[in-house]
Amino acid sequence: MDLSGPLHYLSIDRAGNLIRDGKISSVDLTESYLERIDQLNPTLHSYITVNGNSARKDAKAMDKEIAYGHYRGPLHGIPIALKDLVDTAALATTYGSEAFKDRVPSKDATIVTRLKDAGCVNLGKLTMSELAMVGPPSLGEETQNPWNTSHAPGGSSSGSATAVAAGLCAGSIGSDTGGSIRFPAANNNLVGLMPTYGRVSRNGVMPLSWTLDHLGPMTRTVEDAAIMLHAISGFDPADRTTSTKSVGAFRSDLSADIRGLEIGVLEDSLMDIDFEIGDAIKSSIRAFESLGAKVRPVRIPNYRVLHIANSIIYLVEAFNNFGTLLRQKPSELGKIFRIYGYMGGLFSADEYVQAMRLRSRTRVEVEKIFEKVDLILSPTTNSPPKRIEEFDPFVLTGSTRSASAEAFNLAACPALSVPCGFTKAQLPIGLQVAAKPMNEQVLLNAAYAYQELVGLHHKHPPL
Amino acid sequence: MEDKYLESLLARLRLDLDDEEVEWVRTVFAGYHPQIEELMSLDLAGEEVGTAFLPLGKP
Repeated sequence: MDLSGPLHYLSIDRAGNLIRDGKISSVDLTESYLERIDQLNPTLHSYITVNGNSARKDAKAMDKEIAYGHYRGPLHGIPIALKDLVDTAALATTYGSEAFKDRVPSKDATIVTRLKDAGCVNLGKLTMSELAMVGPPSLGEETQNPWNTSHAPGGSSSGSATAVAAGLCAGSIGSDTGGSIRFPAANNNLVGLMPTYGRVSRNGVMPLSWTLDHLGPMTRTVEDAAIMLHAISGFDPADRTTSTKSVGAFRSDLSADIRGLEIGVLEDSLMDIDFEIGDAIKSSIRAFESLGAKVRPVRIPNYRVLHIANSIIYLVEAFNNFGTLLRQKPSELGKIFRIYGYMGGLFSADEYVQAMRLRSRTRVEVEKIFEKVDLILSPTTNSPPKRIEEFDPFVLTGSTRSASAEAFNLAACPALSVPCGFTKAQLPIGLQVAAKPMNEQVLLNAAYAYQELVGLHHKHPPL
Repeated sequence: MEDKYLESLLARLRLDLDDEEVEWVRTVFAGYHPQIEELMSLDLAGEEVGTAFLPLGKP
C-alpha cells in the first residue's frame, strides 16, 4: 500500500481513516512513533517520560476493538502525547520542575479521560518550561527546535511542539496563559489552537493562572486540530469554569469557502516587528483576499498595556499558587521561575485590580470589533525563533513582546496559530487568527482555507 | 524600587532573597515599571473587576 510518506508524518485525519479501514493498525503506528522517539529523543528531548509499554498495550486493545467492529471515531488508535502538566494516573507529571520530580498522580485529568475515551494512545509526557513560565525546564533537558537546533523551540509548551513537528507523535496537548500554545506552534510550523476560555476542562491540570489558562491541541494540520478539539471540549462538573454550550462537530463542518468573511488586521501588532514576519503577514493578507475575504484594519484600545496587564494577572495568581514553594524550597526551582515568581508577590493588590479592570474593558472593546469583523488577524510572534544563546531571562519585561497573543487570553477568545511562511534561514513563521468566544468553527474554517492555499503543512523539519 | 520598600515587601511575603535575587527583582521591576505607570494612569471608570471574569457560554 502506498501511503505517500512515512507513517510518522501521517495526519491524524488520514491515519484515523486508515485505521478505521484496516489499512494500518494502531500497533503499526505506535511502533513507528516509538522507534522514532528512540532515534531522535536523545537529541531533541521532546519527551521527559516515554510511556512505551503502556502505549503498546493500549494500541493492541484499540486494534482488538476494531477487529470486533467497535470503532470509536477519528482518534481511535491515534498516538498522542501530553504536556507534562496534565495529570496521568500512575505516570510521572513533573511540571518541568525539579521540585516535582517525584510527583505521580493517582488520577487522570479530565482531558486525558476524554482523549482515552476517543481512542487515543498516550505515548508519554512532553518537556515544558518550568511551571509553564518561560525558558528551559529545571528538570530534564531543554527540547531542541527540529527546524534548527540552535534556535529556540518557543514555550512554554515546547516539547508539545517539537514532538509533533519532528513526527514523534500525531498530535499533542499544550497549555496557554499568554501565548504558550501559539508561540511554539509558530516556531515549529504547526497549528496551535487556544480554545475559548471554558471550552476545555482544566480539571487535573497544573494551574499557573486560573483566570487565564487554556488547554488546546497542537497539530500538523487544521483538520487534526478540529478533530482533537471536538474530543476534548465540553462541560465538566469537576471544572466549574467550563461552558455548558454544545460542542460543534468541527472536523465535519470544516469548509474552505470563506468568501465574504470579514477579517480585521490588528494594526498595533504590525508595529515593531521583524521585517520577515511583516512580509509574511502582508503575503497572508493577500492570500485571504484572494480567497474572497474582505480585509480592513482594526485596533484594540490600550494595546500598549495589554502585556503588563496579562503579566500582572498571571504572575500574581502564580505566586498565590507557588508562594509556599518559593519560600520553602527556592533551591529546587530554576532561576527564571524564581525571578518571575518573586515578582508575582511584589505587584500590589491595586495593580492586580487595575489589570482586571482593563481586562473587563478589553473584553468589551474586542466584542465591539467582532460586531464588525468575523476574525482578527495578526502575527503570532514579533520575531522568528531566536538563537538559543540570545535567550534573555528578562525577556518577559519587553512591553510589546506578546500583546497580540495576550489580548485574546484577556478577552477569553479562541485564537489559533497557523503556518504562514519561512525566513530566509528556513525558520517557521506563524499567523494568528482570533474569533469571538465559542466561534472556533469560523476560526478553523479560515485557517483551513488558508492552509489549503499555501500548503505549508506539507513541509517537515530537515531531520 | 527603594531598598527599604523592597525590604519591607519581602519581609511581609516571608521571602528570603540573596543579593543576586534582589538584583533580578530590581531588573524585572525596572523593565515593567514604565508599563505599570501607564496601566495605573488609565481611567477605567465604569469597569468592574467582576465583569473581567464572567463565565462564558452559560445558559
